[in-house]
Amino acid sequence: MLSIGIDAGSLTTKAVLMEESKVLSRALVHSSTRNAAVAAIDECLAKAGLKAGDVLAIVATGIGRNEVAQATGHATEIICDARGAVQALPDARTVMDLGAESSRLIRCDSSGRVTDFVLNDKCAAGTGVFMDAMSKALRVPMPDMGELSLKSTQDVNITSMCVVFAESEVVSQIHRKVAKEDILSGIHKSIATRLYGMLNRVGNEKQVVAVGGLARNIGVIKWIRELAGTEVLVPEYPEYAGAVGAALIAADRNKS
Amino acid sequence: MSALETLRKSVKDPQKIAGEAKAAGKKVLGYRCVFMPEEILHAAGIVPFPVFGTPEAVSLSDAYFQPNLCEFIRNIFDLALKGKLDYLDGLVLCNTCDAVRKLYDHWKAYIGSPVCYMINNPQRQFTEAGLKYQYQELGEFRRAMETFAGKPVTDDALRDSIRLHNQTRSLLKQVYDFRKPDSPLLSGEEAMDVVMACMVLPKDRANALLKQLILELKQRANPPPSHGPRIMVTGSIIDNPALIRMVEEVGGTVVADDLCTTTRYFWYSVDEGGDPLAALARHTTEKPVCACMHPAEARLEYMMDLVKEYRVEGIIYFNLMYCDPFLYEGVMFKKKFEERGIPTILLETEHTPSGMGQLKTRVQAFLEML
Repeated sequence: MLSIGIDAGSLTTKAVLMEESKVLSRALVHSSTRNAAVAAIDECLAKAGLKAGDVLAIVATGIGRNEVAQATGHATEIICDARGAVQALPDARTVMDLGAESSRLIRCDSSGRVTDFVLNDKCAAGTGVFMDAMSKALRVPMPDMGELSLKSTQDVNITSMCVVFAESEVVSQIHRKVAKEDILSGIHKSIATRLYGMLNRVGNEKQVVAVGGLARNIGVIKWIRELAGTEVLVPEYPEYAGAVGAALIAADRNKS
Repeated sequence: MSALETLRKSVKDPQKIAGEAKAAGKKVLGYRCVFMPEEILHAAGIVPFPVFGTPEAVSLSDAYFQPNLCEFIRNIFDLALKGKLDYLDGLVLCNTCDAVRKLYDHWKAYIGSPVCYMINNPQRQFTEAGLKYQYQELGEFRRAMETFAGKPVTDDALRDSIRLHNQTRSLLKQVYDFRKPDSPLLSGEEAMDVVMACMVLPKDRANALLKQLILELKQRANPPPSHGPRIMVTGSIIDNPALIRMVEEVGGTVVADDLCTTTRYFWYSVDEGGDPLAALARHTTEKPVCACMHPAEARLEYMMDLVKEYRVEGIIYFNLMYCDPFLYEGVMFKKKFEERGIPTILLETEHTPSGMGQLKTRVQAFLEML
């Protein structure tokens, strides 16, 4: 049984093509691309040498889920994230999804069924776009930020939760000639602190797994580990967790 | 037109009802809060009129209140500043939260109407001292209303008034019984409209419509669709059914609601025997429906009664931003409900409907989780 999961996120659109629980292909396109969902699905099919007619079920998730014309069904990001995380790392019970515009803390059971969740409030603090703004302010490319922050030797506190205010806080640190790696470490700590609060609210249950694009940032993960005093695992393809969950849900629904 | 349609239509334009009373030469007093004893106003021949906000964003009241204060209060003050509450002869408030206390101060200072009255409520409920205090306080309120109305409020008139209002309460409870079956015969949105209509309509008119509504519901041919989990909605004041409609649109079956515009208004009736003023005082001090009141355990018990009666499977808290009393209780109550096996979600909302998409995703995920 072939199924596709498509995660139309606020920044990127991810698609995975699966045969039962095996991923055949993945595709990621920028959400601002014209017909991003179509492009991602087509890329997945082409990589696997299949055509649209071969796939029975497509479930869409993410903020743009209702705009995916090809979808045979929909599910919220929360349900898909948990399912995808448990698929990648079966011991996952607490899932942190560190997305572009939202952070989600989800608790689930061994089958990936959600038992509780909290989301960040209507604000970008603690999310990917926050990091994007900081990357621009410091002129450090996003992929390098985490690694560089590990070289920090001094504690810097970034306390503003608002992206705009945090940016001016960072700029004033630059003017005071504080080392970039120290500022970066402070930025990562401030994001991690916020996520740690959410983790406490949902209940810090083992195993904690981080997914979403920002889960690739070792600086954030390091600080969460330190604050929470617990291991935080990251699957091989963290940004695809939601899409994988959607594909699995598509297959389930098709069977029942 | 069916009773349901008539009731729902009257909520669409509540000002019209107040306008009609005014045109008939009556005095109309706006009020806020389920602790306000409507019976005293009614017995004095004054029309009690619940003030609701509008979905419009505030503008003029920004000159008086910081934006990080209760948006509901800012909304009402905005309406007053814009002259949209000019048909009222005044405002009666109950001493519940900081926001209401400051609305009183601002109303008195800047709106200026014949009446601006604050009834003090002892916030620690279920005490003899509180009851005595409330009795005195309501006695004073009764005298103030006698002066304003220019006529005495007799014990007999008060007793009649209590009976009339109790009838509304018990009829509303009967209407709510139609939400108990597996497939409720009344949707959450309809139920809220019905209660709000009973708040604004003259009680004899409301009671007649409710009796007719009960007959209609008994043989309702096209009940609202219901297949999703049975949900109870609670939280800060909601005076616009948009949020309830949203929950039902994404598949929740709203079977119960603990809100100022629904169950809190009618759940407890007033004792009909003895001293009517003492009965009203007891009613106020033994009605644990608000997060402003103390102790929290009593309110939790009351909510658990609703959960059991309406067989609730999940609870959604819609808390207004900056609404301290409900925001403070939220997390603790969520834990308490979950200990009792009822999943609960806390959501923060704004009085002016905004960010509906984000709220919808959260509600949808919650329903998928149940």
